[in-house]
Amino acid sequence: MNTSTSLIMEQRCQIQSFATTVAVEFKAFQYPLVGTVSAELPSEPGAVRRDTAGNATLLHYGPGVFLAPLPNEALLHRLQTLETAGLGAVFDVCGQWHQFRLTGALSTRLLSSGIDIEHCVPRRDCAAVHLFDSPALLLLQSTGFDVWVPASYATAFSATLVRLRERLINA
Amino acid sequence: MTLRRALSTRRGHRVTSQSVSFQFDGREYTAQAGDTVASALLAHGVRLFGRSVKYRRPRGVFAAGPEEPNALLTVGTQPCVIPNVSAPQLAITPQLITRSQNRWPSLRVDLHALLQAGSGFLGAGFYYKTFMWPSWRTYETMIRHLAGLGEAPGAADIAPPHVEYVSCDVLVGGAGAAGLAAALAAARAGARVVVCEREPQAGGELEFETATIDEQSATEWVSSALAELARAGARVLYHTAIVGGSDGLVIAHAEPGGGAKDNTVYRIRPQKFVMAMGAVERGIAFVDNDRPGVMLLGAAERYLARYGVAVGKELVLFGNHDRLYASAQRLHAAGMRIRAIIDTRGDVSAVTIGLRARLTGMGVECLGGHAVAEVHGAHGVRRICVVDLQAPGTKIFIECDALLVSGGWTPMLQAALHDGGQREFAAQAGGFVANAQPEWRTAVGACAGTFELSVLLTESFRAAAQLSQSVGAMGVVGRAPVGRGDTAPQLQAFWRSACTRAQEKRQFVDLQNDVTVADLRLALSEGFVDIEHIKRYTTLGIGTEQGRTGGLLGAAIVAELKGEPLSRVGVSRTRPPYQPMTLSSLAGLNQGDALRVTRRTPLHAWNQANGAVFEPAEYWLRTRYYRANGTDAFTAGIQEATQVRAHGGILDGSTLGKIEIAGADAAAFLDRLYLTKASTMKVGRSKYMVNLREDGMVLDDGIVLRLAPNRFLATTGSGHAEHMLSHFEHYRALEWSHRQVAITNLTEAWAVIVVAGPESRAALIRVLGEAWHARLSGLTHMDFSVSRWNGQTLRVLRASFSGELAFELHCQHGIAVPLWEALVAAGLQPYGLEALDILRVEKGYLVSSEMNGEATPQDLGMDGLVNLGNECVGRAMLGRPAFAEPQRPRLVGLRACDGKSVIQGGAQITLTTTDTHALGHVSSSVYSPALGQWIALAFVARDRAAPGTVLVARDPLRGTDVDVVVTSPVHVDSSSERMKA
Amino acid sequence: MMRLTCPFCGARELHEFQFHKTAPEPGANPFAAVYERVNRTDISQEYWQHLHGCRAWLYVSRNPSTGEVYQVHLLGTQS
Repeated sequence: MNTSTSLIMEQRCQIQSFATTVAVEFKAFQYPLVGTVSAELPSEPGAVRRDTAGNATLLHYGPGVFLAPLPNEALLHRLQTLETAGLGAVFDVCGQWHQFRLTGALSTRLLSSGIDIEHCVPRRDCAAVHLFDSPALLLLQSTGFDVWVPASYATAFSATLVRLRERLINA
Repeated sequence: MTLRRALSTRRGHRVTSQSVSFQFDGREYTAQAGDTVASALLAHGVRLFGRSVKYRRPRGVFAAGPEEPNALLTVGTQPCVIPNVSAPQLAITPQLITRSQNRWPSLRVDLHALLQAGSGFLGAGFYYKTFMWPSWRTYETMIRHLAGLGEAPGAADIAPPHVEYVSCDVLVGGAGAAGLAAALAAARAGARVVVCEREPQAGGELEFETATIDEQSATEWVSSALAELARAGARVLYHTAIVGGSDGLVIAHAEPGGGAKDNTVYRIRPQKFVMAMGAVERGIAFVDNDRPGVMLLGAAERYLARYGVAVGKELVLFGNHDRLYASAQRLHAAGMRIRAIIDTRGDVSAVTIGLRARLTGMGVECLGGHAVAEVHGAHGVRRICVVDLQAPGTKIFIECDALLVSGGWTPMLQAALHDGGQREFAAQAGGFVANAQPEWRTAVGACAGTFELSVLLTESFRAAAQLSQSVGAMGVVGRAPVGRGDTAPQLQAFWRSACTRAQEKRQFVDLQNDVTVADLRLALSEGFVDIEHIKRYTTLGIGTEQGRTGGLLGAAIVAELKGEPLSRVGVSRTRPPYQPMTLSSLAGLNQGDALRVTRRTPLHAWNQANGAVFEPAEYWLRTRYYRANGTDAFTAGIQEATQVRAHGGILDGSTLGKIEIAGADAAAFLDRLYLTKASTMKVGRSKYMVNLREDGMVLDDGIVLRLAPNRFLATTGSGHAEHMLSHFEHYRALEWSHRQVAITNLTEAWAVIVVAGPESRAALIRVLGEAWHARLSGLTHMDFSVSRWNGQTLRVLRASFSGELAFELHCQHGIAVPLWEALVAAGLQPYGLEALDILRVEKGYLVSSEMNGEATPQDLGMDGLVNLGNECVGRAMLGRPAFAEPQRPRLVGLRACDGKSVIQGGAQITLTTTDTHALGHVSSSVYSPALGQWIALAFVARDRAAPGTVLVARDPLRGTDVDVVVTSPVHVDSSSERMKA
Repeated sequence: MMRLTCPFCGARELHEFQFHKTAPEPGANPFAAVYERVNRTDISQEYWQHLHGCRAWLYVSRNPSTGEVYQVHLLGTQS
């Protein structure tokens, strides 16, 4: 289950924080991807599959490493099938990642304080990076970015986001 | 305090009629909005801005930019001051307070200057030769008080900078004529362009140079160029100087208005970098050339054009090139009175003769083949002494109050000399220009030694077009801007006027550091012949202006003194940052609360609310002890440990590393990475396992659980989790990339609560409820059971790191706090790391102090595990002869012989109290409440490690020696009855 | 050599990567594999991890004198 706490609501930059993130990871045994795995999952580096509502369902963020946030039954079943076929392993990573959502015109500038955002992300839809001293997964959205950080970093990360946002808005 | 008001409103590019005020040395002055402190004070006729660093000579403004060597002010009041801020770059903001530096009691009357009767005392390197007897310390306080420039702040009041990472195709450094031409070419080609300009406006010398470009005036052309760049989406950053970088990264620093406020550090990665940072005007050395009122010619032009400030009433110009005349015409046209132009060149072209004639016609005396030999007027130029270079005996005295000097322009090579960039001597430029550069960088314009407008516009346009093409921007660029400005300078090198040997002490080369010609001569005579050595010995070229005005001048004079060509002498290398930055700017975002990242467990908030005292451990905040249990860590630790053994306790163990390994080959993979086999484990069981490094040393230990036939959970030491994950990932990639095994890190996903002590099982049964009763009662040592509690998954492992009956609860975040609180309510007291350490040392359990990378498994008493013979990483290296030597230390326990002395961690183990040969050392030591005395784990040479051996634990740092006796490392409950209850 | 190109993530700043060790000669005995290397100035073959990115392990061959990177591929594969 995901519960969202809006940290800041402001036109130019909103930051939302999602407390507990249900998620699953699939790790393919072989890379480059072969056979069914390559056919069924987004195989390009940094590729993201989205559902009809535009939500990301699969993020290919490492070689043969996929994050499935909030997977539905059908996706879980597909991944289990791949596991049974000996092509990879499914891991329940509920609680491992904490999700932030940045929207608004200032969100790019905010992230640019810590990483060359133009370089990392537009060439791909998701990227594994190191941001504000925390491991992070970046996902490009139409209105901004999703950022996943390991749960233990979430408090420090959120404090940094809020502080930077304050300074940028008042600059 | 009376307000000093200006006499009339000035007109200049950057000043408006709006009034502002500020303080300088306790007086308040008016100024116009847009003024800098320098322009405002000059407008008020202020001539003294500070005193020089060594000789405390009165000094005034010399330049109009970061090359200012003299007018460095302290901004603010203690404890929050910023020293050494260049007055020409300091914008006037409300309530601005500034002070001159390096003078006492006042700028006008400085006591230390009066005391320096003979300034020869403080020549170059004086501190290596004087103030030695009886020792340096005698003089140190006095020297430190006198030395340096400005005062350090007593407190930090500077907000962290903004930081921005920027990517672009073409970076252009400088928005002068060459920079704008280059930016236009790149933008038209379709490249993404970023331009960095250190001034608040674009244009560079076009600000005052009489020029037409593409049939527009210079100012109009600059405006239309900027408009075109804006339309093309190029970014122009003002107040932003390139300050350094390396390996393809360029760092730029934006400091709007000086004084380290609202500044931004840009980290730029361009595909191509066009360096168009121009050239800096330099002076000429003559006697007393440092007097207030001696100023760079271009600076005077800038003060006039930008701020409407006349730097003097009777001006004399002195230099060695044709631009003297163009400048003179501009100054004259603006109503300034020019008394004379002193031109060192005797043999000149027809063009020059014509220029001179025109100015003579305006009433300006033009003296060719002459040079200024000396300046008179300690607190400001009164008159100058001019000599005929052909007839050195003749002296002419000219009264004036400002002497504007120009000895030529030195290309700004700071960025071009980085990353393997080379320079070469260019005679026509009179100095050094950029030579071979890494393929992604090129120098254009004055920076490359091209001073003529018409030429540099074309050159930089074409260079940028080519660079843009090479990164794939193939748009049509059209033709280069066509322009005409001042005629070619026709410079003839002239570095210093002739003078006597004694007078060389007053011919200043580097104004900021008080380096004179005499100092250069002294350095050479003492054997410092390389320009880099001369720099360090004389301090030529250090400080805020990094030799901009004095570096090449000094090198040329060294060349003269050595009798060598300037091309061979060279110039010293400047160091980044090329303009001063505060430490706060350099630190970027990592300061204050964000100095280092902190990681928190799911139980952190509860711990914080309940008196936990935290200790940082590998970025985690871990509970060391709880305040309620003692006044300090030592007392609280003992209380908590006692409580665990007597009744029970709970520990937040969430930082424990957890790695899940899955796949048909997972078991075989773990067999390879652990000293003993994982494949023999049954599902539902766990095992204590040890990892070796490839050289055989113990790397880590932990419990491995078999969750399913093809799924394991490996736990690692808390501080080691990421390292062990990398270790696993390395071998998976190196040897197992075609097998069926995958790894993932689940350290954050599971909270871990350790429940330990004789009452632990009973309390756990009460809390978890009937559903768990049977499971818990039947759970044997190293078994685990998975089920649910309050709707979420819970895994209970029976294992112990305290030697007590204990359980490790792995649960998801949602139930972590409720479960913890329920256990507290059931009577279990939380304990922290301090107590954990006591409990584990009592049982001889290991942490990184023992598994320190120098201990083999046999050293740690794991012979039994080794003898099982599993072929794992590191095994092959265990058989090395040195590991069997009798003196090799192995793990033992120690107790104080007298039953009460403190055993110090790190103490060296010897045979006697006078022995200095160490047999080993103490790795962990604690006060054991169970035994009522200090106990330790230590490494001791095998041939001295028999239990009962009496040795000495020597602590040379604290000067204590304690007699100790060797025991088993398991101090308490050696048969482990409590744990297996 | 301020950037390395991770085969998965693309070109990234050097501080995202962690050097592990130089690769042992193929067929070296265990002692040589741990301790002995031929120290060449023209080529160095190394194991790195993209620690602050996708965490992939990499094989890198580069020129230690000039910093030029010849090859980067995922360790255990050819890509």
